[in-house]
Amino acid sequence: MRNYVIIILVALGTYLTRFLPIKFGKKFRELKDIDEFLRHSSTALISALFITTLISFPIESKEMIKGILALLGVFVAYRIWKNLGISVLVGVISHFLLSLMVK
Amino acid sequence: MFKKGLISSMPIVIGYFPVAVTFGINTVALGFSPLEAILSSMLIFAGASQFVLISTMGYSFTNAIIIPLFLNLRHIVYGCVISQKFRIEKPVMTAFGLTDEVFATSLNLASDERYMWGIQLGAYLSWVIGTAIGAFGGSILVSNKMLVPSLVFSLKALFFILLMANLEHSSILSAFVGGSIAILLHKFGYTSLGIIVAGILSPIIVMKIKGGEKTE
Repeated sequence: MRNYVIIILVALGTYLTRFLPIKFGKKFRELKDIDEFLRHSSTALISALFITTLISFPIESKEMIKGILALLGVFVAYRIWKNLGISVLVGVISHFLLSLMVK
Repeated sequence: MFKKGLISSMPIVIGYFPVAVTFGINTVALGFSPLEAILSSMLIFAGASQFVLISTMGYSFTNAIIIPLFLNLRHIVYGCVISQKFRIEKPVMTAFGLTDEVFATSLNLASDERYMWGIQLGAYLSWVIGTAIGAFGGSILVSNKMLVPSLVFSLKALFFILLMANLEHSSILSAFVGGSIAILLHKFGYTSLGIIVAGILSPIIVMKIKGGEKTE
């Protein structure tokens, strides 16, 4: 029973962190320079999410090189096709092939 | 729009699935029931904090609630940003699936709320079904030591593409400042805090720099 209570409370708290800013987001529109602030904020957030998923400490050079090379494949695929799904798939396949080569 | 969103969720689906299976396996391995594993994925739907939850749930009641919630505080910033991007008619529904990946994908691709629901549904089903498979014996699926890291790599690829797409109409300075703040705090183990700080502090720094350039 205790575990179910914990799960429900965490679920409720998580939901509120997502719901309240959306519900009361309109109030932010009235603030000065908010559009510019949020434009920079969204880029910074995506950059932060990318860098924290890419790098894990301690850095393992082999894994890092494999990741960067696979991202190169993603970069090229995105430049050619401009398609999210295809580019991700190219990344996954590149990563897998590199893993087979660098055992 | 909903269908388009569902199709756009595919990269997230690929990335979530192996992580969800791992979550299901770990939860059961730590002595919790498959129902507890599935219920937490169904109700919480927040990857990292669920892993923290199962590792603290056996010990302290308070920590098991506070630590995962602290990790999820970054969603506050996501909600603010998304609510400015397009009109949200049903916040009760839209808020539920606002994970890191859904936020980043919606920011770049979604043109309305329905598109976002499509992305959320794909991601949610992958997460819940993956957890269920893991909880009911998915150890075979995650035993392939080479395939799983490659599938998980899809999330890195996803963020990378979204960043590239975002930079086409935004400042590289914001990405640099945000990335630097995040990596610094990530180094010291404060990953989630780093993401929040990056989202709040970076625009202030960038706007100060740009404001200074204009004055000169």
